[in-house]
Amino acid sequence: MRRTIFLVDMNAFYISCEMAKNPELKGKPAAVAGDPEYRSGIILAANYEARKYKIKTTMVIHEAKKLCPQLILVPPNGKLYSDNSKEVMKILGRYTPVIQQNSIDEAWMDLTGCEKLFGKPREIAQSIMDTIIKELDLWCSIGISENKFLAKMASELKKPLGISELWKSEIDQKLWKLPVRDMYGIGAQTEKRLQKLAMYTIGDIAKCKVEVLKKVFGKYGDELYRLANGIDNSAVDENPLRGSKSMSRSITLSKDSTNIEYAKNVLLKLAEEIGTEARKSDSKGKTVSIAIKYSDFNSITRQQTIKPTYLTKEIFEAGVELLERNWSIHKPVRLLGIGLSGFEEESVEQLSIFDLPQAEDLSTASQREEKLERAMDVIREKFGADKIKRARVLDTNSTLKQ
Amino acid sequence: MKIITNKSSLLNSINIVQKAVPTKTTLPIIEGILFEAKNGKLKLIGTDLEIGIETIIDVDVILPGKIVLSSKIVGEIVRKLPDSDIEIEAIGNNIINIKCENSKFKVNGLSAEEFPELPSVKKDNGITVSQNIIKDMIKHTIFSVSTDEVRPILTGVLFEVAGDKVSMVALDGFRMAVKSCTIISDSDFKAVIPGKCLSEIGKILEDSEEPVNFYFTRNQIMVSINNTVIISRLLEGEFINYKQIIPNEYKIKIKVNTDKLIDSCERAALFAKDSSNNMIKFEIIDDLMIINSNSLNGDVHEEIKINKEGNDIEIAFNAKYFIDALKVIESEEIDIEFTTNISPSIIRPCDGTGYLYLVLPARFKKNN
Repeated sequence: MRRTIFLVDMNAFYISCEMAKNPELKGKPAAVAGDPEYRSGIILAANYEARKYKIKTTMVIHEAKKLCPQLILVPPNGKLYSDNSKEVMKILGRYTPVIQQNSIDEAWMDLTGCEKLFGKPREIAQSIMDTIIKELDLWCSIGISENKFLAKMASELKKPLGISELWKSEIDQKLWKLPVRDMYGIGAQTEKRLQKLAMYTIGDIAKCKVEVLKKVFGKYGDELYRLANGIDNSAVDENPLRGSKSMSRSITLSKDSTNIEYAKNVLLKLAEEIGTEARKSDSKGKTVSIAIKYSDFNSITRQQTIKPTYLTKEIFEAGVELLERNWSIHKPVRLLGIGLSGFEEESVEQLSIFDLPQAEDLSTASQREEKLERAMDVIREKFGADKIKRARVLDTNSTLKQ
Repeated sequence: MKIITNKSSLLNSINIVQKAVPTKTTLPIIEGILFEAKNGKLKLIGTDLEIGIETIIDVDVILPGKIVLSSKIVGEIVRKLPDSDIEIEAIGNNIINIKCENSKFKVNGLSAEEFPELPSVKKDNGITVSQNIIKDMIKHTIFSVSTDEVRPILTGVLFEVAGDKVSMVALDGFRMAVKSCTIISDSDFKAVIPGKCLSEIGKILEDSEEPVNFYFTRNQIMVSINNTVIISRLLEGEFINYKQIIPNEYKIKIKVNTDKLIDSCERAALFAKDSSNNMIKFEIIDDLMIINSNSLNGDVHEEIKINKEGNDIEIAFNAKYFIDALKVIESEEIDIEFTTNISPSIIRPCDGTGYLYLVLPARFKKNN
């Protein structure tokens, strides 16, 4: 069954919120800017009147003022935007519960099978757009397609107040002529590398041999190829970060080192930070990786899989194992890093009898370690990160520089 | 050796000792069953060196003697023979003939001398209980033993005798089953019986009021049921002090019909099975218990009328942990006690049959 996916993109969101709140701004060039008091602030969002003067996001204020002296600048009001964003999501929620918020001002919706309820896709989109205008006085563009990538690309086709369809069968006409930079997910770096392969349009990516892309970009090459051909099977997921996150820390040593004991202490300090972060979000990861950059700037990463954990001690021990396996006294080390990934996807956790407070004396070493580390987390939270530390990092502490 | 017996009693005794015979082993002799005939009796022994089972039947012994026969082969032969008299006769060199009506098998055996001897167990500590009581106690607890070797002691069932009260306790870290009965005894002892052994004992026991005798030494157990004796090692180490895990009080108590709850839980589990965690969610609101579960394939909503004391609560469980216990409870109604949605809940049958089942819920993690 072909899916029906929308991407709802709020037009000039920050400044539109300001305009809705203060209608005097309407019809005049206006922008939300970093801090108008300082000449160094930058434009965060310009309304369409200001855009007529070629004012763009990230432009420095005094440059913008040069282009349009009567430009009205408004200081940013984060709460206003996030409140408005929530209201928008509430409106979207009236049409489907399957919503993935991509950022403060855009979200995917899965409306597959909703025709009977709300009408044809284009009618639904019109109804969403009208409702947002009526209730919040905000503008949006809506892209309609059969997957998330094409919906996103569709939403870019017409702004503001556009409703655009981009189905897979139409990509050769509507999508392929666009420059690669317009493809969702491609930044300046990827653009440069694609241009080196003589790929300038999305069509060039779609029509090339996938092996070429794989060779240059690895797994990501495969992804690029599929997206350019309009294939994207990813689900509209309320919580897309789940299971795909990683945490890592690295540090450039104050001087190059061949001393593994010193390196272990460095890893411990980094593992401590990762452990704290992982415990805070209750996420246990099963892959521990280390990165070593040598004084000649060559670098390696190594990883291993362990029992899912968020304990500093276990992350550290896995890191030390990797370090010992890959250490060479002949190669001075410049930078060390350690990371945790492969987080469990479970959103539920079966509780154990041994976690009960009355089962104190039944606990295993790792459960005792968890209690210890949790207690240290609380102390650090309350009194500061440097107020309690493991004895082995005490003497090296002063030599560590972030 | 030469004996004559009938198919059904021979097959029955083979089935009993086969429960101890290992299928895969590095010691071929114990893949066999020892047959020993003398004084009008045939003794069969099977063992995997952890558990040994010995059973005795009355047969016509024409010539005494003993031999070890492959458990698999002799079992299959006897199972397929017609329901008639069977003659087993040694013809020398560890070879025997099995004759029955118009069938005749020649079977290679092994020398009985090589078969390991079962240890003898002193009958110091012992109790006598009727078979159906023990069978019932095993049924109520055995499914909660741990299969995780991290805590070997939990792969066994605690057998505790305190005065006239005998209890069996099994727990795997996520749930705990405690079944107690009153017996005529005045001894005090406890032992941890390997789960596998107790499970086999459960299969041999009959639903009758015939007695079964349990004898314990420091590291062994001997159980005698009718003409059968089961010997096993005990698990070493201290069992967990299970009493400290049982909460003294509760905040919410509901009364619910057992069969209705099983049916609802099993339907809810249809979707729960898709996910790796097998979770079902209970929402207890006023006099209603709502059971939900959802998966990629869909979701299910079940409602059951209940009686409730205390506040409303929303709590999630692994469906299997709940259903396992409900299935063995015979009482028409059960009480479930809750405290919070992250503390243990207790199921008790309303018929006062001395059963307590404690189960830990699953915690829904906050989404980041």
